[in-house]
Amino acid sequence: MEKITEEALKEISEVKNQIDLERARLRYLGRKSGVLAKITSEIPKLPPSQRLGIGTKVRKARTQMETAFESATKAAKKVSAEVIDVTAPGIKIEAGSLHPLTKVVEEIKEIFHYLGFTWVDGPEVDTDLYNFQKLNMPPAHPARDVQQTYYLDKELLLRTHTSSMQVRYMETHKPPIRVLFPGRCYRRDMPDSTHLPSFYQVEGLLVDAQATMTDLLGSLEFFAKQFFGESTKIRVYGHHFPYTEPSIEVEVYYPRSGWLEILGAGMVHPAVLRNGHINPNRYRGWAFGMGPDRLAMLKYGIGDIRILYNNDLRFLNQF
Amino acid sequence: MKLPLSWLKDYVEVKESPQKLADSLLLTGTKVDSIETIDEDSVFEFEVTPNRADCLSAIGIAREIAAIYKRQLIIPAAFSETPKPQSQGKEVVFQVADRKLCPAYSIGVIDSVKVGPSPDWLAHRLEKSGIRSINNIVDITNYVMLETGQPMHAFDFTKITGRMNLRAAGAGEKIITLDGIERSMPQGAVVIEDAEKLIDLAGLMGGESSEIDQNTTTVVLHVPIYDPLAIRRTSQVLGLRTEASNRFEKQLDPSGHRYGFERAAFLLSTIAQGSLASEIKSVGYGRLEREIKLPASSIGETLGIQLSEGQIKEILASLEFATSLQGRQLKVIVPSFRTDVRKPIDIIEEIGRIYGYNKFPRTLPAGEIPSKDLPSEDFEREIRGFFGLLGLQEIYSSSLTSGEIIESAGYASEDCLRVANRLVVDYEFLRPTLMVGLLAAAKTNQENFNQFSLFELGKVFEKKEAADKLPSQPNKIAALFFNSNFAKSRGALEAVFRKLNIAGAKFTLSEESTLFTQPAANIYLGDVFLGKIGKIKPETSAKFDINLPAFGFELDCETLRSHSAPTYYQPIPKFPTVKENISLFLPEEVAFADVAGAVEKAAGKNYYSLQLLEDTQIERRRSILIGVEYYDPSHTLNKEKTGFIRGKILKELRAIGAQPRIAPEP
Repeated sequence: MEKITEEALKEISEVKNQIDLERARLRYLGRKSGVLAKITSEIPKLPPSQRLGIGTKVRKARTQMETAFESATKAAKKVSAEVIDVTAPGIKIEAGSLHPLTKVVEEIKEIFHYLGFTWVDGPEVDTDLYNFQKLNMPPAHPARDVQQTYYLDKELLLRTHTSSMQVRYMETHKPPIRVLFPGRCYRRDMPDSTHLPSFYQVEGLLVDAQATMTDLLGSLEFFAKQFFGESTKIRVYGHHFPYTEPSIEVEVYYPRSGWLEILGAGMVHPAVLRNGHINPNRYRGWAFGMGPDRLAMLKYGIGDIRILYNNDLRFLNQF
Repeated sequence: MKLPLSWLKDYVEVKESPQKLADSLLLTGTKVDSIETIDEDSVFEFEVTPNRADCLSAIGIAREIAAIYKRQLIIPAAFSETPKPQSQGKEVVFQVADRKLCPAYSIGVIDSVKVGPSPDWLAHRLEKSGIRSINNIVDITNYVMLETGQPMHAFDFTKITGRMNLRAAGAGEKIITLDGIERSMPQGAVVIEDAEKLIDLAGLMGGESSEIDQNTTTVVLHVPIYDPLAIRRTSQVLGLRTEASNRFEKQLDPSGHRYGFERAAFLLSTIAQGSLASEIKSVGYGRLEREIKLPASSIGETLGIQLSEGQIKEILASLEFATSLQGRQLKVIVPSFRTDVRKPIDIIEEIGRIYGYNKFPRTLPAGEIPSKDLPSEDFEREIRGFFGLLGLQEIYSSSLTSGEIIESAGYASEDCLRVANRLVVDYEFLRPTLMVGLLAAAKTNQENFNQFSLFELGKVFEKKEAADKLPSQPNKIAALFFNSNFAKSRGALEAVFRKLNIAGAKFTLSEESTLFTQPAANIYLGDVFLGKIGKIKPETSAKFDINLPAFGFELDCETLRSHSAPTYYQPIPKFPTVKENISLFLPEEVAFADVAGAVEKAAGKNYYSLQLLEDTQIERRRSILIGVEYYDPSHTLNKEKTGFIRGKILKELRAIGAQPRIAPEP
């Protein structure tokens, strides 16, 4: 008995951490499989002469061990508390993150994915044909004025909108069509807090045997509520784009700033469907175009579009 | 275009507040940019879409208001009959050399005018509308332009010698315009000359030589319609936009010139005591209206709302369209001033916008969903995510950049695509590599951060033509590691390969390239070149003011995507693997790739994995520590077999010239 007690006390004095201490405690003092418990359970099997005094010895050993464990546990706790200042910062782990524009574009894609839309990429250097002419804007059309254009030569230009993908896509796909065209566009504008020569757009296109203005409005409202929140209100007004008719613009109500325009849309002009080899007597379509830059600015409260493209980590790290 | 509310009220009753009116106009398609209060009057600034030439006028806006609120539009009467010349006949001979340039016009002479300041009401209306008051004659022409949308010009009759002739200008012909500037005209500008000289840069600005002045008593009033394209081109080439050119370059009411003349002649007589001194000659005094037929059902099919015949007729009547239903066809008579309404779909738009889109129910499309796989953009989402997970920060930089930046990155700007009409030098060339944006971003951030890594996904541009006859513009993904080393950048790349399930990427030593210096490598997937990885050249770093070592890589997205295999679970070994660390001295000519090849070859089907644990120099010799794992898929390797495999590995390693630093097995 003395030998067991000695071993136990030695072990307790050597163990430093709480987990090992607890393991040792279970081994000696555990209620079922502890050494002392086992000895106690063996007592009735001993001849009566040897039973005498054993109980006392076990109790004495238990008391000694318990005292030792108690003080060792206290000491171990004290040690760990002294080492770690929980108020000090942890070791910094550099987490990467995605640009807010990516987040916004992904969110737009996800929302329209619910409505059955997929998406494709397209060329940024495109032809006058697909960017303008096939969208009902012949050369020198006044509507080209609002889309100041960078030209590479007589035919090639930097697309001014992702609508340039409409006819390209229709030429190679039969209705039903539900597709998004996210990507970069260019306008020959002086850079300022709301304009950059290079920016993002997401175009959406639906073509089907049945396609109505009410569906367009419903889909855009669905988007606005998903993106800005369930209580978001939109309003719609007539506008003019040569490639959609009727054409509309959509505003969302922003408590801080009032009504803000977020996108242009409309029913695909019959001439544009025809240019995409789709019979406008059998099919109708609707399309919309929105600016993720502007949406990101609204969503995150960014006042200057240039911040999005300056790539200052003090900005990017916030997302 | 600016107009005071008080002026609009001449033609239509307005009971609403200015803000309410602006909202109503907006919802039907006429944007009000601002409302300014001047002398207790509200001045509206309108943004009129280019198709609505009719709305570039007070009457046009008033007509919209009348349609919105279902009110009466009252427009000033024109001459009820063509008046006879009141004073002695003065004739003007006006010839049009090319009818295409000026298909319609009205012209006449008005004499006995008294030139002087305009009455206050007239001057104030013009000034509130943003037009400077000059004298009563010029002001009247401007006033009628704002009122009706039809621009016109008054010449001093006595300054014109002989007949007037309208023709296309030859390139470089010169005229001094009313603003005193001598302008050299482009080929095809529309000009009017008399027998001696040019007197008008038609559609843009009058000529100084025939200007109305204080001594003018007789004016020639010319109210034309020009070829919109000719005016627009000249305006663009000269960089000169005027109130007149802004209207002439749009589709004006083909019969509006006569009304414009009569209205101006009336004001010249009441305000400047003028009297008509000639016949009013009108050419191309054209068709008043046009007929459009459409299936009545197409309205509901397009808009998604069902309107009664009565509702449709009422809406169209409010816009002065006459409607009749003939069987299932709707026949609509469109007035001449609505030059934008030409097709059935245009009629449907008019119904929709006046009915009010905000009253439409909002529904979701019910048709069949096109069932196609998600396209490659999702792959892009995936790799963006992986790079983010690896601790890289995504950036977006401008794909249009300056020649200087491209040259700084080591590229020749003449090899890069360039816009022909740059506005500022900062946006002139299309980037040949994503690295230009990453380097610029590194410069931006080095002040505030000691170490960082960035990536961007986007297009780069090459002069060579791609399959679709457009310049090649592939998507790339590139990363830059600031204050880092080769192994770290390569490690990030390998992690991406693992995530994309790309096996067998080969790194081969690369010669110095445009962007990178040693250490640098070409990366191949099989035989396909994927991209380069390496240290940014010190001279490039210096040009971008980057003061710590930077490493980077740029990969082709499509190559990456096409080599990415779908993930398929590989069973975890059922039996323990044997782990073994081996120290090796490597002679200079032996690369790690050779070591890896030797181990794989030797272990054969027992090969499990290989790691490089240490790579150091001991007494100028390269010493590496590798961790090899081998196993048998069907049972636990026994001592004999283990020894056999180890022996084979050591033998292969020695065969390539590596020197294992352990005692040979007995």
